[in-house]
Amino acid sequence: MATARSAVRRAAEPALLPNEIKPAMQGAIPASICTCSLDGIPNATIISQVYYVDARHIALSCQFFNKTTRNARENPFVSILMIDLESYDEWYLEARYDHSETEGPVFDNMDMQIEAIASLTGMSGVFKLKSADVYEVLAVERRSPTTG
Amino acid sequence: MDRQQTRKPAAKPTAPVDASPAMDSSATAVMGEQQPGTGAATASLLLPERLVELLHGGNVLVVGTRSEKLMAHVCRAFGARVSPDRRAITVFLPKSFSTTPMANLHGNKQIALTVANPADHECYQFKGETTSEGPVSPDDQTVSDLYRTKLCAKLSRKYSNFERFFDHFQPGPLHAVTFVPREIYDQTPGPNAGRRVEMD
Repeated sequence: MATARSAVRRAAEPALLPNEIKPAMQGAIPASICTCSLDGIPNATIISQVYYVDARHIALSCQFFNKTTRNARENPFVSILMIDLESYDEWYLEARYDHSETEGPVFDNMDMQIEAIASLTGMSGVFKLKSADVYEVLAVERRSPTTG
Repeated sequence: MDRQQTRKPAAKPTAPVDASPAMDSSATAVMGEQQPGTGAATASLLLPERLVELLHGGNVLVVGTRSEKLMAHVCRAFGARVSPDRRAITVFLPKSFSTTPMANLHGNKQIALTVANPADHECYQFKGETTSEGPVSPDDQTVSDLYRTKLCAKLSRKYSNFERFFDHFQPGPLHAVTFVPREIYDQTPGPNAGRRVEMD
């Protein structure tokens, strides 16, 4: 981590998620997110799932984190950190909230994964998916000593 | 967490708190000036022993900051140290990934720190304003090294090969950032998630 870092890729166009990021989205280790309210107070929390929608979009599960949800709706720019338990690399994302889904394939798939994660973590019955919040990815950074 | 209800931290037995060296006297001056709209300083909170235990206990530490344009930024901290009077928290940020958070803190001082126990998911968030930053002292470095060892041991019980992760992912040189919490929120998954912690 101290030896190197890759540049954050920012562009006018949304960033593309590489295939190598997918293992970090399997929910093995919970991810972290920071949002910011319009009055300038950051909010950092743990999230159980970051779902790969397509190469330009992710979805976050909306369950308990009301402040995160409210912040993202009033100030859509968020920052996310994930760990890939296969490579032990860390992935840093910047994203912009786009819309929420309460039905359809993304919601259904996330609902199933949430239940699986809850079961694995001994929290069955605690997690309840309220919506799948879809974000457009703006920047991607892979943090690994090997990525230069 | 935006609800009005308040609660006290779960009444768990208080274990001995890890050694907490005195605050680093090498910390530099107050970071930046109070910015309009960033919240006036309030009376500092006396952190409950239970939360001190969590902060010193080798749990996951996540730091949130924001830019002047309200762009949020998340990063990990490698250790935390509560001041002897239990009114301030110092976190250690890897220099290699803290350019943005340090610039954010210099600009507006707003910081959020979340501590999460990966074993039982107990989780709290502290919000406040930074008061100082500076290089880590030898005591700070010891705290950070101990933190990494504790976290590795805790995660290794849950995930395989986590020792390899920590061999691979070392924090390197650190910044020490001190802040005074003014609000604490329970973020443990469940019915109390988001509630503000009532302080004595």
